[in-house]
Amino acid sequence: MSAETMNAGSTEPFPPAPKSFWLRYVFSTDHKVIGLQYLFTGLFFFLAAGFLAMLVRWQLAYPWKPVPVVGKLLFPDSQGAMTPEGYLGIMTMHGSFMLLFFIIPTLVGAFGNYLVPLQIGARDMALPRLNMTSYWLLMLAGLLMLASLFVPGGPCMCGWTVYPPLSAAPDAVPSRIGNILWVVSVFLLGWSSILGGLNFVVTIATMRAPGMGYFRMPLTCWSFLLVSIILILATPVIASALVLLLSDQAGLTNIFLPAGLVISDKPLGRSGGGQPLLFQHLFWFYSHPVVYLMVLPGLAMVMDILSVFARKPTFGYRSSVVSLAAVIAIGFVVWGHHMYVSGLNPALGTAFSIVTALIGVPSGVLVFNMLATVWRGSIRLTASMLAAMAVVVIFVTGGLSGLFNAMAAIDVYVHDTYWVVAHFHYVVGGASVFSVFAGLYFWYPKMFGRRLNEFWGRIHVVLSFLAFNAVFFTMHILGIGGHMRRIADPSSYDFLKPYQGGHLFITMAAFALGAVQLIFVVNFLAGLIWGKPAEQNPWNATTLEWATTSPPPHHNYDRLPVVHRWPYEYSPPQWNGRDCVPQHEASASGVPAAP
Amino acid sequence: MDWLFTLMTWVTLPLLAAVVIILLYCIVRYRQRDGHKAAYITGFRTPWGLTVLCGLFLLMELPFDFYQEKIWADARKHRPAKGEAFVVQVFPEQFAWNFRYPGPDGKFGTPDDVASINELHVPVGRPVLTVMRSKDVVHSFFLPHLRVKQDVLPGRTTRAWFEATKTGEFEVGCAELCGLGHYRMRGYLTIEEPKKVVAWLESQRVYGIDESKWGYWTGGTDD
Ligand SMILES: [Cu+2]
Ligand SMILES: [Cu+2]
Repeated sequence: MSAETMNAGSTEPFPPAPKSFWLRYVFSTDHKVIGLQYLFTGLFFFLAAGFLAMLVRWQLAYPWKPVPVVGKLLFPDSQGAMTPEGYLGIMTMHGSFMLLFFIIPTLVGAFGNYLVPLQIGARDMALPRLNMTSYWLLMLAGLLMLASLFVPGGPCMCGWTVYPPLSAAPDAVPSRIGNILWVVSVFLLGWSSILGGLNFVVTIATMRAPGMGYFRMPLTCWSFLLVSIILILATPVIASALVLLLSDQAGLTNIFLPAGLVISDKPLGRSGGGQPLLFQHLFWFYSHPVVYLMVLPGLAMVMDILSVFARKPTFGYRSSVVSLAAVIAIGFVVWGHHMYVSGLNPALGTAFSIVTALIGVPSGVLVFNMLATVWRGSIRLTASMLAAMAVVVIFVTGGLSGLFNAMAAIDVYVHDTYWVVAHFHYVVGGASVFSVFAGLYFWYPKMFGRRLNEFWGRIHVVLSFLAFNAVFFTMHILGIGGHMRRIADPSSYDFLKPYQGGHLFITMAAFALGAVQLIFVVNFLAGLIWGKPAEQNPWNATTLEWATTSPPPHHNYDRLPVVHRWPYEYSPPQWNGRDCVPQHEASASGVPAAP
Repeated sequence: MDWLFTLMTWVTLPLLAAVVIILLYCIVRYRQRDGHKAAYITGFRTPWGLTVLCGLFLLMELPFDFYQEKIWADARKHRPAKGEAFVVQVFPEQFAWNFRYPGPDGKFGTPDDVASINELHVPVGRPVLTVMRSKDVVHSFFLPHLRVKQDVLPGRTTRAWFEATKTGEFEVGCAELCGLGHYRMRGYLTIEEPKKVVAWLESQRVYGIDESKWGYWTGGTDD
């Protein structure tokens, strides 16, 4: 008997689900429950961040005009009108919620936790209690961030980049307590990320079902393995930087504070000796790779979904794996492209421009493989497929605009303008959000055992895509006009006056984008109650998560599956014209083994 | 810089259009219908396919890298010579731009210096060099019409330079979030004939140098 088949169909005992409600649904160690906890936490912050974005958009279209409906409640001291404090706090929280508490927990936490054990044919993560710990660290971090909205001085107002001295010197902004809470919260989030990343690596290394070689894992699974490298290697850097920042905030050190600071004509009275630029280096050493942490799992999910709904193997599977790895590897040495105008040595600007352009090569291969996958397929335009195709277009748009700001010479002009705002809302925002849509429309039946309404799903995806482009494509034009970001009132500059109409248009489109999400919320919630029960494998997909019931039982599989082939056996030439052959189905004799 | 931007736009927009068109074509041409079966294609047949693809992407990018390096070098590496440039010290604070000019003797830190707040006057047709330090937090010195942007940090000197070819009145912006008044941290840039600049500087002399501001300048006097 070969090692591959030794555990074939193992039914080894697995501890049953705990009986008590608290242990089963709250302090659970089941990766599926934890995945859903991440999902609901992430979606909560998504909606909250979206609401904050609407406030920002109102202010930009109608500066200092009372905010309708919620204005009186939020800004009682100014008759319902936005204040500069309010604007900066809301803008910072929008960014922090979206990046740190929606995209990371949803794409990596929710989909990663839910899918990795199921896709490799395991009963749970390798370290279930560590898994629970990382979720509750995230929860704690999220609660701290929410609490910071209500402390005196307001939430952090330094932008999600929290550059010192603004974030470190007392009284540079009113949000002294908020800044501290932000730092502590993100530090806890960092721990959650590191533990989560370790768990993915250990799980994938040790728990793969018999026959599941590394090159038989779906790309989705590969992406979680690869981004775990970012979680493990880059997160400790930001965590240390935040500890140093905290100690500067507390007045214990001056690591990022130079001597001779004078804040509103009062000398700070610190001995100084530190360097603000040092923080920017540490921050971007984490925050550039983390962009890939946010976008690569989404792209990999999209590649899998394109393959399922084109009924065609993913094109260039191994080249996609290598490209994902290459993007991450190069991604560790490009952080300086955020700092071309920061006072960096110009020779470094040249170097960072070149390595950043190099990322275009593996990214280009990924996009080519996506297009080649749908080419000559047999395309089912489900809501999930539409969202996946939206991701392709959005990622390409953001990637191409990224070629501009990658070049130091062009970045001098577009840096910190709406060009960059547009760019990262495509490449991080849109690509991730539409990946989440694609993933949810695809795996919702597996997660909840019920179907979403396909018709309304398609409407939601198409309308969202149109509104999204109306909002963010227009922002490129503002950026070309030199419109700075993080400006509470564009009308305070004469050269920005011509763009007020653009702001009005963007705001209207943004309200539409926000309103369309209600379709999604209603569909999601209604599906939980009234959705049609889902079969085991509603999309005729080949991977292992579809080899068990929807939703899977506590122990995932009654018998652990044995893997016989790669995950993309769609429309195979052999097998008598069968549409697809699942990974766990044994080969009939006489049929040659697939890769 | 502008022509590089335009060139890039004309290269990237067709690429984006191509992706959209390919997807739409696939949706129409390869939609699910009776008797139509997807092709079983797992990748390039030879490793050459991938090599050529990567090579194409590289070849597309490299020329731009060379062009951009030339512009970048002019903007950041080739600092104008001391005697040749019109030098201004820039000392921003929350939320104003303080400028100091060396006066007729061409030296800073001498009694004939002239200072101004939020008003920058520079000569046309001569390189201008700004020597910058921040008094408090990070700001960013932004001259949108001249395509100049450089962060200004406390505890570290940064420089920017440019040569204006046209006279006129323009704006100075702050491009790095620096606090509550970031949105209104606006200055005025006047580019005029060298004689007019001298005359304007003399007219500003009456206001003197505000030591409660410039007393904190830590950048030294000769850089
Ligand atoms: Cu980056
Ligand atoms: Cu400023």
